[in-house]
Amino acid sequence: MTPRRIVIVGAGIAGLVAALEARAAGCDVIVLERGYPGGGNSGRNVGRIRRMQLTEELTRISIAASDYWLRIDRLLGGRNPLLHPTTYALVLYGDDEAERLGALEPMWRATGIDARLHDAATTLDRVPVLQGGERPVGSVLSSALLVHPDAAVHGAYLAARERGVDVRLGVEVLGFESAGGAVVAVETTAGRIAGDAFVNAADAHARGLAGTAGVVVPTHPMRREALVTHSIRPIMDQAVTFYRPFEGWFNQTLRGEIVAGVTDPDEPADYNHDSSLAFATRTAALLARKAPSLLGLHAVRQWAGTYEYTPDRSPIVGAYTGVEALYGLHGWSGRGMLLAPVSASLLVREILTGARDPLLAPFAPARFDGVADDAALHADYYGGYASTGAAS
Amino acid sequence: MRAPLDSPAVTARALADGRPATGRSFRLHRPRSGVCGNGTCGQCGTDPATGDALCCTPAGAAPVRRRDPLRALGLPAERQLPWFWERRLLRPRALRGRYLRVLRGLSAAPGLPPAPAGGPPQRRVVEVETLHVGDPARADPGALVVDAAAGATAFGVYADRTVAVTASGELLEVRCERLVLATGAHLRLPPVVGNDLPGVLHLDALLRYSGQGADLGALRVAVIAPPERHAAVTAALGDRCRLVHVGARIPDRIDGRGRVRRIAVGAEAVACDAVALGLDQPAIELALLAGAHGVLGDGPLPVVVADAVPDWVELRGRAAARERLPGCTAQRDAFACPCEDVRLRDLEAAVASGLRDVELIKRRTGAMTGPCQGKVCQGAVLTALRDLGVEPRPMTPRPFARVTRLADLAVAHDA
Repeated sequence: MTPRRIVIVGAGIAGLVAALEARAAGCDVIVLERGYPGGGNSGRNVGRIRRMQLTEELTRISIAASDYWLRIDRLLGGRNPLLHPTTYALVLYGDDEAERLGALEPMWRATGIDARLHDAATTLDRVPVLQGGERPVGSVLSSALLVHPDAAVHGAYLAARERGVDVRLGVEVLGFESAGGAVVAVETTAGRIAGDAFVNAADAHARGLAGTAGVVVPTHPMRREALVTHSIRPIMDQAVTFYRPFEGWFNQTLRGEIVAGVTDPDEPADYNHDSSLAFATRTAALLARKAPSLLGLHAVRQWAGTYEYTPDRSPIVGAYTGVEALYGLHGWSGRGMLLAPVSASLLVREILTGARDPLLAPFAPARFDGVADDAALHADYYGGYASTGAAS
Repeated sequence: MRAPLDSPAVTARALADGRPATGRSFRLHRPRSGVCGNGTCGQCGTDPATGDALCCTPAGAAPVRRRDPLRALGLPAERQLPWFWERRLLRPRALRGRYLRVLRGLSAAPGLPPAPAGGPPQRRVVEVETLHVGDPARADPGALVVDAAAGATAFGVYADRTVAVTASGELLEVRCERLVLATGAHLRLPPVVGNDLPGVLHLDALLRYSGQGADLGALRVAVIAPPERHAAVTAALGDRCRLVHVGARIPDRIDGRGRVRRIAVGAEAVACDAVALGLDQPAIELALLAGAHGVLGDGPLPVVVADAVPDWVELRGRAAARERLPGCTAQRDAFACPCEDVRLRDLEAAVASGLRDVELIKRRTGAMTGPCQGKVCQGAVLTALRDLGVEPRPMTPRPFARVTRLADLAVAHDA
């Protein structure tokens, strides 16, 4: 039976795009959101859309994701989410990094993306903001996009309302109700809502929600922080990321602000959303080391969000095992803005036709069946990809 | 923020010279002048040599760019909604290469300020019984005082009662048992047409400029303040500038082009060069970071006040004041948020488009997301939204309570 009435939990970019796609296919769609649209990570990220990834599976879906973003304005009712080109610059400070990433170049070539390993001189030439800082050993540069996350979420929300999606804000889902091995309804703070298919797009809270249907998802929430400076005239065209001594990133927004963050390698797994002083000083200190020309900027605000990490840092998209009519659309591990729209689109097609797109094959929830629920999250960044082979 | 000046700031000199505009607005390129006089409002522009606000920069130190050729583009943009680009101007495939560079080149933003010389700040952890932030005259004996006059700035309250302070080459992490905040007040922007004209400023800023020795003798000043402050204002400013009007009624409009020329109060028109507004929004951002709840108060011109203040935090003086401000009729064409050029009618349009949550409207319009982070505009924005039927929930408090140079945060790190 083709589902007619689809209930989606979470009005972030994942839930809203799923709603728009399902509505376009003729379904009745209800989206339930306990806060406001984009109140989770969809409204707390910096909108980096890149094809370059460390595994072939992630690279292939990221290519599809970038293409999806380039035509998303039609889905958003003609609204422009301020999508614009940038260069994704993964800057390397360790010889081991260069060796590891150099080994990925054949995969990038085979998949048709332009990610290439460059030496130190080319890196400083193409990413001049790094001049005067610690000398990198090289970089991987690739063409990428930046999107304004709020513009995208608002476009999706307004388009969903225009097209008759029933978006209910301030309604918290308390759990799923099953009968005969299938989910048949959600219990909410506004009563019971029945449906034919249910999509769990609750991001960091997806784990707890899945648990109410007896589904174990081995994901872990972790705080990620960011800070933003006042606006300046355009000074850089690259979205910079580095992983030594630990993960950090910075880029300039279309409004001219520099956004930046450096993660805490010992960040505990929890739902803490507070801003920390250690983050502010760590980020400023690492910018002083990598891009000292930025130190005259004034920081205006810092904020925090929660990443939902999976053991292999790849998303969970598809039917959960052990229960019918319940689908996962979460586990972004920091790639939600990139992967959620295309994943939502492919998942909706799967729900309606039963046919699973090959791009989604590596991301089925079933891959974690029987996997220990204590994945090491504090390991080296690159180590997180070892389990899928390509980056090992 | 730098230590207060003992000579007139760029903005003070510009006001005294009758050419108050030193900055320009982000979206519409409207001319702007310093509203706060202490580096919090972000309206006056920055010194290209230091990145500091011009109201914290001595006159003569920084060149002031008077002409803004892009203002011509701001004029037609004023007729558009803040998000007009999304359907009319920009198509995703057009946002490429040279077009994007031209677009970004239209920004009124300043250049990259040079990185300051000198080594990284020293991090020091200090444990005290009582930390006092603000007016030292209100401090208890024995309290550690963070005083802007001594060049110290408290920019955040973090976990474990830790207050972060930058002071002369040091980053202090002050763990305190008690936090006393005598942080004064910001301007509560009244929603009248012309409220963003150069020459409209907080009364505190005018008093500060006067204290810096700015020659304001020729300046015709209209003061709007609650009646109980009139005597003190006249005493402080009567012989420093030409007080052409001292009243409690908020003007029906503020007129001028490029700067204030006159105000209309009822049937009366008063010619003036500056409008000093003694309308206070208590400076409560550190209390909110410490865990107090912000709520929109009542009265004709409501301000955001701190409720449920934790028992270890105390607000003193004007930061604790809940005086009733005179009211006025909100005008659709007035600015609610000058940082992002958001007018009351833009908020109206956002609500009419179906957005009913403060957080959504904030992100949609940009209101409260500029350099002042809501200090000047939050009362005006939330009141307008309340009047449109939206629950006026204040924005999430986050550091930095004062803009903080990255160099002042970049402590030597063990990594």
